[in-house]
Amino acid sequence: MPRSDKSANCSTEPRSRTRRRLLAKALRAGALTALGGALLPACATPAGKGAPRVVVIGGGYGGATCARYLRYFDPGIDVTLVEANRAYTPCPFSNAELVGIDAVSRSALDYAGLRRNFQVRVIHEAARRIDPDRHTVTLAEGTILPYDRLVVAPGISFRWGHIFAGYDEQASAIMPHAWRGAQQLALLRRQLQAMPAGGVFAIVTPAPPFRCPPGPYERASLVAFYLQQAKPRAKVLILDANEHFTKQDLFEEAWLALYPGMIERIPISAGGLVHHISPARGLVRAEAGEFRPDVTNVIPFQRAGRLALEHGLTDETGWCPVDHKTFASTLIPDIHVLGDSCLAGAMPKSASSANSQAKVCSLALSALLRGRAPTAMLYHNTCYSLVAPDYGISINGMYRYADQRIKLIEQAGGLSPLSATPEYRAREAAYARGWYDSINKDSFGR
Amino acid sequence: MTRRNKDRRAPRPEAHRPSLRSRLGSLAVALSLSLPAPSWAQSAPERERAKLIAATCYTCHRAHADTPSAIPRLEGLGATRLRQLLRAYQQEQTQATVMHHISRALSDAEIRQVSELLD
Repeated sequence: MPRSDKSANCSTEPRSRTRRRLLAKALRAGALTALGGALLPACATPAGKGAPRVVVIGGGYGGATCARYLRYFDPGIDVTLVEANRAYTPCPFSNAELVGIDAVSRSALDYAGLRRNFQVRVIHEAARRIDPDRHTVTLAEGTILPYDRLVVAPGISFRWGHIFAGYDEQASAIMPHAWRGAQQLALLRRQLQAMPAGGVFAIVTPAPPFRCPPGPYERASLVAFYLQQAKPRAKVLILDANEHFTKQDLFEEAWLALYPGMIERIPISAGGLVHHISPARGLVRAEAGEFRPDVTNVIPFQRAGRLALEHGLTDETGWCPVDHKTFASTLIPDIHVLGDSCLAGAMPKSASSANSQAKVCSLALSALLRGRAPTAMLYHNTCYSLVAPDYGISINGMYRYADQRIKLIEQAGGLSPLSATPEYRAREAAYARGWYDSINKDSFGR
Repeated sequence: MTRRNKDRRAPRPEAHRPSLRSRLGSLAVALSLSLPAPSWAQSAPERERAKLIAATCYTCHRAHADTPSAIPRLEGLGATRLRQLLRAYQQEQTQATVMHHISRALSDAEIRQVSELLD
């Protein structure tokens, strides 16, 4: 362990800029050390005394990847990851789990790999308070962690009651969102299994930006797959706050081929926007009329995670504005925001985006802490959706930094083709599983 | 890849780093012995960028020996083969589902540099 809690407490004094300058100077003097050092594996050596300190709050894909790659790119940095939970429930493949496929491969992710393989100090405690002036984080039990740079990756929070009047946290115990966490997913799964034959499974979607843009449509697909086997004549209804959606042509081609007449989508132009929900009566009121589905899955409108909201890291949009080169907050100095919480230009809110942002950010942090200018920017997102167990579709984007923005590289990136063979779809389904296995290893240092 | 032995095919890319370093080291020595600077001589920013691109590959390609994956491993391919593959994907000479899209974001120099780094 790089530092005990006790000594961490000692350094609540303002951090020493002199020390950092000296360090930067020393490193510049041995010009090759910074780069050469970064090529070395983050073997079993923790960062030494006086090493630059980065605290990462939030152990999802963004935070975990950032902790790992900080130690990998620059083993001279002392990295502490603060995450309240001992295990992370990933969102990717949660729709597969919902309908009982791929259950075996979905085990919760822990932080042992980050500890063991990358010497990340992991503390399972909630972060209570950030003090940007003193550069400290206070944890729930009172531990004070000083930082030179802080990374915040708190994911999303829900805007209870926004647009969907009547839908609050209590309501989600009756009509689950199943958009985060194991409990909600298990609840929706029980409701799906208890649905009568000929029943209706409704999915109520929010307007963007929200976590996992293709998620609602993948869910509709896989629920239709389940209903086809288990609940004769049952249907899926999508009450959609959107007119168009990602991979739309691919989804609709698949729905026509695999689930003819089973998935009805009411886009916003046809009255799909829901404005009132009464969980006790099982009632959903949209512009198109009133619905009484047998199971209702409400995906609420979203904004940045609670920690970001409570610490002034969000703007009027409810999300965190950041410098697209370094992911440094434009509102509070020396705090970086990664993943779903941040406004990352053209990048969608996905595990893959968060993983990519964390890599760019960790190189930028290493540069900044060593007194160099960050230079490496290239961002990536690959996102698979399953429409059936052996039918995968994908979209991918590559992004560059231009005009101070993350922008899509037009000549790169793309979608699965329409009218592909069943073999091609099966290949992409296999790649989707390979992607899931790989990104978990990559992000959690296993 | 006959020139590679088993040990150097260790699954983690990290395991390659020391040998890469030593090889770069011997290259540096060789270069200092009056060879003209090759076109791929890297500046520090280029090296940083190559590191980032390599890390980006591993989002999807971090397959380990103990878990079979449909996504091919990069370890053991070698720089030459990696470079050939990336170029072929770019020009759509090799069938792919996503790599023909992704590789088009890379310049020739970046393909060369990341292939060397992943070697």
